[in-house]
Amino acid sequence: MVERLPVLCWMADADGYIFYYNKKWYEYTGATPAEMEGWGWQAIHVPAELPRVMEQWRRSLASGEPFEMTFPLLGADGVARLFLTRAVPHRNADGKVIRWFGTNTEITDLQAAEARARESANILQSVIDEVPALVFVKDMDGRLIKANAAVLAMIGRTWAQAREESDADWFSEAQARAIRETDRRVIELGETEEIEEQAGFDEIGPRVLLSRKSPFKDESGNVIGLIGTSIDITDRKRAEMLRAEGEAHLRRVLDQLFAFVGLMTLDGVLIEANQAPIKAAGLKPEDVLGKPFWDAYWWSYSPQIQRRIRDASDAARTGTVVRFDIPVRIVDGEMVTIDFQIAPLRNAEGRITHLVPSAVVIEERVRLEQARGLLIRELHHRVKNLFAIAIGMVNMSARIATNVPELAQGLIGRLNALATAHELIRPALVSDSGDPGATTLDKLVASILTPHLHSSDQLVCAGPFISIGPSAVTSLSLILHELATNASKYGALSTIEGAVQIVWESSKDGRLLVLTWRERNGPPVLVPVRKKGFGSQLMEISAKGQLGGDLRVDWNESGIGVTLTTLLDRLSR
Amino acid sequence: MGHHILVVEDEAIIAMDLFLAVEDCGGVGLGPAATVSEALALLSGAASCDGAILDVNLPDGDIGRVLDELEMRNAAVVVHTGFALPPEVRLRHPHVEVFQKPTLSRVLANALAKKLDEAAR
Repeated sequence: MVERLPVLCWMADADGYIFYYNKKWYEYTGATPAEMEGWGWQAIHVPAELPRVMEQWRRSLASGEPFEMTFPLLGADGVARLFLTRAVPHRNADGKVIRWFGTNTEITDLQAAEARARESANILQSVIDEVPALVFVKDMDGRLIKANAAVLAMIGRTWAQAREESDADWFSEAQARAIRETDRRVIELGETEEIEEQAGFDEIGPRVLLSRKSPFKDESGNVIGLIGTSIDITDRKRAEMLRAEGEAHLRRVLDQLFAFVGLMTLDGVLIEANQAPIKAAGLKPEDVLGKPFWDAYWWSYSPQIQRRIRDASDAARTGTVVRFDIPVRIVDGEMVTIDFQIAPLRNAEGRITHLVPSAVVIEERVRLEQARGLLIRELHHRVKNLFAIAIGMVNMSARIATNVPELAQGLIGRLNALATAHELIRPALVSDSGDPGATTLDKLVASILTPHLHSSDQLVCAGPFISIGPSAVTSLSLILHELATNASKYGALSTIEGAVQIVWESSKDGRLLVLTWRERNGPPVLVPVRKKGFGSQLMEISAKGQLGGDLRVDWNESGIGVTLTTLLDRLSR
Repeated sequence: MGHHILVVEDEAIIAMDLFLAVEDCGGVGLGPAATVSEALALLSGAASCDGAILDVNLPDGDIGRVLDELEMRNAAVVVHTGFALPPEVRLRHPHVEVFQKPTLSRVLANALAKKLDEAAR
């Protein structure tokens, strides 16, 4: 039987004297039985190796322990090959060694294979260590069997530490659990899986890995773990998120913007638009998106405007920016004016790829322009009216004056009163408040009367706040002017001691204003011979006409008394 | 002549000037009225009214109704205004002559006298 063994065999007695070699032995060594018998085998040993072989063989012979050793043996061709030599003792019933059985198995090929394997493993390790991706092999329990430098760098462990630990030692509990779940799934289903995983943290947040895990199988095809590669995509992921966030942020900003910003295809189909203008028109995005821009609700009321939008789109397509103001319809059919523009959008090569319609509401600007226009017309009208009044004054003054100085004096006084009235109204007219322009009764009284006073205590005023409008102010100032002129010529204001008391109050029903003018401490009053002079007529007509009231004069000897009644609502006109 | 001429003008001094200008031309003044309602009241109370010098914007509205009334009476009319006739009033009275303020009272009175002369022929 032993002759058939592929190994070299031999048998020795208890002392180590070899009395048998098998056929393979002689074939390998090329020696004869006579040369080999006993201790003759030393002849085929490499001399340098022999002493340690002898030493160990003798030790086994002495102790009876099995012999195992690797050493070279010279073949018939003179080449030394490495053999693994084993010798086991055969004992009798008393346990005494009576014989040794030995085998020599050539391992030169085996060792070379191992060396080659070791070498290729080293190369492989070097390669995978150079790879920036994480490469790892895990066993069924999820422990690392193999890991490249990138893995160790990420978990901050040496290989010696890493093989003793597990995911739970390197990652958060949740991360480790998620990783373990994937690992189990790959192992159980035996299928490759690609998945994004979170593993570890940096100063900004968790790192994201794109991992590919495949089952690791032995030669028989049994799954014994998994092989994985992971790429760190944290930065890419963050860049994506930032971009998405940036886009979302921009969109939110645009959506809040009442201004309109859109994007059209070259065919004029609106493909993007911010929210606010769509909402302002009471629309939903789908009402305008995906449709020709000129068909949108905003201008669907006007074929002309639709035509203009269409023409503008055509022009923009050829590279021209078109801009104009148009009224657009918003919610409830309300109209607002917008400053509208369509501009071409070019790509990096300069080719026009889209059109960008945009608009801002300029209602406020339009309103201000209209208000300004109104104001200008109003001023123009007032100037014409003032000239008409001035001409009337000249005519009237000329009719009553007996000489030129008298004419001049009368005219100057009245024109001054007119100028004062205008001056009081002017601030309101030129203010931006849009107020039609108004002053108050107390201001008007003080302005007209002051030039006629010797001292401020000659005038006593009392009355509530009454607003005087631009129409009423001329009549009222002319009435007050006539009264003041008369007082300074013939009445209380012609002396230093005289005084004028002006009191006003509104009637109980709130329709009328009653103003009383009372002069005191003036010279005795003479009832005029010529009744109803020009001044009186003017006052009466003013009071009755424009002010819708009445003027009554009491010629008391102690001082003239005048009661002016006017409609309150006329005063504010 | 003795034509009865209505003067409607809310600015007292202009009203007085016009009134006297009418009298200077030999007319008999009606008014002056400062409001639409005053003018209508004067017209309904007057035995005759042959012509009128009218302001347009008055405290209680525009002159439209007064113009309507005067047209029914075949009165000659000149309008004296800083603006113009309101469009709807203009539509009803396409031939009314409008003088821009300021126009001299004498010019207005003469223009009206001329119209009355033409109507009399």
